[in-house]
Amino acid sequence: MNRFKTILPLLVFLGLGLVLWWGLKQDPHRISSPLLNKSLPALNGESLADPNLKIDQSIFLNKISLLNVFATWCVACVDEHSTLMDIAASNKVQLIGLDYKDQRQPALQWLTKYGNPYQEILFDNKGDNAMELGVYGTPETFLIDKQGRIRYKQIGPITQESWQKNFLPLIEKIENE
Amino acid sequence: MNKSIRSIVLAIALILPVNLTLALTQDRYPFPNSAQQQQFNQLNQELRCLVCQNETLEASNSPLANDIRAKIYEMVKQGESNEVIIAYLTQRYGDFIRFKPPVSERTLMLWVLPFALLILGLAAILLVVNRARLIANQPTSLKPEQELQLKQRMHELDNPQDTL
Repeated sequence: MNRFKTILPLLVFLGLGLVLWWGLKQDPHRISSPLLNKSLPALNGESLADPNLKIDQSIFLNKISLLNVFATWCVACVDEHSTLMDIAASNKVQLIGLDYKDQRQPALQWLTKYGNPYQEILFDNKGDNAMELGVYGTPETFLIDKQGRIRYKQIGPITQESWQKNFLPLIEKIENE
Repeated sequence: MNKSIRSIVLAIALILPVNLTLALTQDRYPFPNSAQQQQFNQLNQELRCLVCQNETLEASNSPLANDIRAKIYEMVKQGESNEVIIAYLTQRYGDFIRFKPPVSERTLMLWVLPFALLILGLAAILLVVNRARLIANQPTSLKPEQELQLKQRMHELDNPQDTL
């Protein structure tokens, strides 16, 4: 009993240290989305390539999709672009872009320069659709199942590693549902 | 005299920037009445910018904070209540947007722990104080020969000349 009392402060210190050390390793900028496992909110906008083509959330139905929020002013979006090209080439998912608070011409030029991995791009120059999705930084990527539910959200650029580790297993699972 | 004038000038100088930003936001988001103005200001102080995380929406200059402010402005002008506006934002951005998150399973520790620690600390203090008091009040129980020895020693100390 007495011995326990003498090492008690050390135990408390170690416990506190462990909690704080764990806290240091958390990234406060990765906030989990309240939209996870919920239906995609109503989206409404026009295609980047064709202003007359209206786009809403129905383009996600019956397909497993990635919705990638990007912008030409976003530096990290350039970093993830090659990974997106690879994902598009793998044909595992439908890749939909959301061009966030951008200008049409620079965005189209940007895609010509770096390549266009997207099947369709929603032009969201005011950011209204992004607000429906709770976007607070670019790039962000949503994994959407065939019923149009959001199953996963990645904040920050997609890398080969996060694609293999976080997306692929979940896509496989969704395919088998 | 000189000193008090200086402190008044200093106080005004310190308050001025605050008034200035207030005036600026008032110009940018005009309201038909002061109740809505107040509601708007209060919401902007209670809500957090998700980009510069320790800033309120009011203080933040990030584009996202701007967009959310504009949305709040629109909703306040439509006469929406605080509850509706906060629910709208938390449905999209999560509880993180609130500086004062609601009590839930995830935030239970946050709310309960300070009080639990306070009670624990008070209990510890009481325990220590109580024990000290017990020890102080304990009657001394010396054996008869120890009592005699004590008396003898005290007598020696009181009358040093006897031992010489």
